[in-house]
Amino acid sequence: MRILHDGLIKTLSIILFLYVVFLSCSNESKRKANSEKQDQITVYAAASLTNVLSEIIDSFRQEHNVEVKLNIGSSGTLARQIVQGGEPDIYISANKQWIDYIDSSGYIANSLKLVVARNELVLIAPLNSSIKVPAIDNSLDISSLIGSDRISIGNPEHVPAGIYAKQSLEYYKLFRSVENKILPAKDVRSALMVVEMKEVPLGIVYRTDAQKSNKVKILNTFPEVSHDSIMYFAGICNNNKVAKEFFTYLNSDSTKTIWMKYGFKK
Amino acid sequence: MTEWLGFDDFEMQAIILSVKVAIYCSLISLPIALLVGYKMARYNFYGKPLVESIIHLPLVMPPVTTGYLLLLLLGSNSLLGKWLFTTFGIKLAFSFQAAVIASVFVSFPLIVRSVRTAMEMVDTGLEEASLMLGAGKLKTFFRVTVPLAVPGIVSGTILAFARSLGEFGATITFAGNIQGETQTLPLAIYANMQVPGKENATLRLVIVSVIISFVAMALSEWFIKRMKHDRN
Repeated sequence: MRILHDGLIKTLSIILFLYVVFLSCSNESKRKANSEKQDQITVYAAASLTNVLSEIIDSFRQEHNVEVKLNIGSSGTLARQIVQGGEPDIYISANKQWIDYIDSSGYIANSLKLVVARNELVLIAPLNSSIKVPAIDNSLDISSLIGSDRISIGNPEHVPAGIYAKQSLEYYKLFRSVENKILPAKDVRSALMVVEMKEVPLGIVYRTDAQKSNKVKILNTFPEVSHDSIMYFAGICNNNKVAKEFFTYLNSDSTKTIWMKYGFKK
Repeated sequence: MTEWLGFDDFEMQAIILSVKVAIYCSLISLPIALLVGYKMARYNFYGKPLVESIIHLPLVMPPVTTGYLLLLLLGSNSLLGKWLFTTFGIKLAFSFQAAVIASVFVSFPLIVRSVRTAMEMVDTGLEEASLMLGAGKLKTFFRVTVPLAVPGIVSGTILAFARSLGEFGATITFAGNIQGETQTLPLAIYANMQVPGKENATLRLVIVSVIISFVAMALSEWFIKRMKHDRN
């Protein structure tokens, strides 16, 4: 049974053909423009570096004609993306575990990994919270402070901030009591947002995240002895010259002030 | 319950949770859809196009947007959320109930469309005849309108069930990714995908997801064929 009229079929076919031709044309012109325009590198970086890297990239672009594309996420998520074919030029992880993981799979050139910054772990609450934490130690009854609510941390399975948080809680023998009250976030910024929205009474994020937000307050800092040192490791994934320039730039004197402005330690 | 077909506890929980949420979602959306679908099919009122647009919003919006709006409207920091907490002590966001609510909101447009279309096709003459012969409005609705609209009602419910099984964006935003409580199958697949090294677990869950979908579709086809057969 003929549903479509002959003339209609012809018209539709012509339109479809023109559309496909149009599509392939635009791609080609874009590609040509890109290779003539400027160099381009892709950086995969931990979520907590969102703001500081944006400024570092802006500063880098003032001296170099390079477009830097930023892919932000949990270090674990990004590592998984790299192993599945992401192909960034540079990877910056918030812990050693994930950069070692992709290094062992051969994705870091010359296995060269440099520490570009350090951070601290803090316990936070919504700005209007009345909770006071004079000290973080074995006697901290964090479970009562949470009550029947939840505590927001990065997912301890893949988010470094969540892994450090779990380490600290285990160090003070507090993890068991809060294990069922954890609200796992897909990265540290999502963990921060939940506290900002006052959905939970407590959260554990990096000092730099808490400082950037004006909707949460820091109750106390987790002593460094309670978790692995929080170090951001950067590695280049190929032999791209421009990538090497950016890599060196991350640790140069020009960027030191930017890192510290956002609360990172060097 | 340890290793059933090689699934660990958390994976089984995700599967069972998904089915539970989908069932609750269908059971809750159905009566509301019957009411709203009937009103939309039979009545014209001032502002009807606006109501239609609002109902269809979750269908057109990205699910994460729906989830975020749910957080703004029903979260702990909202007017409604605060009232619910002070009056009943209920916290909706990041709970099993939140997962059901998210599913209901995103699948409601689907079931309402189906119900409404089916009811529009019911001969109003038959409803009038029923009323004239003495049956009340309610009896007419349940004994005349609904039975005649059953194919549309059933397919709408199945659509809602299936949509709920696949619901991700609104659920992860409003209900969170809490294992055992709100981590449904799609969320569990996503969570496992984020962890390097958990490819096998991810694949297992993906296969289960596909199987459940196949079974749901096969059951619905069989059910619809049965109904057609019963009618003829």
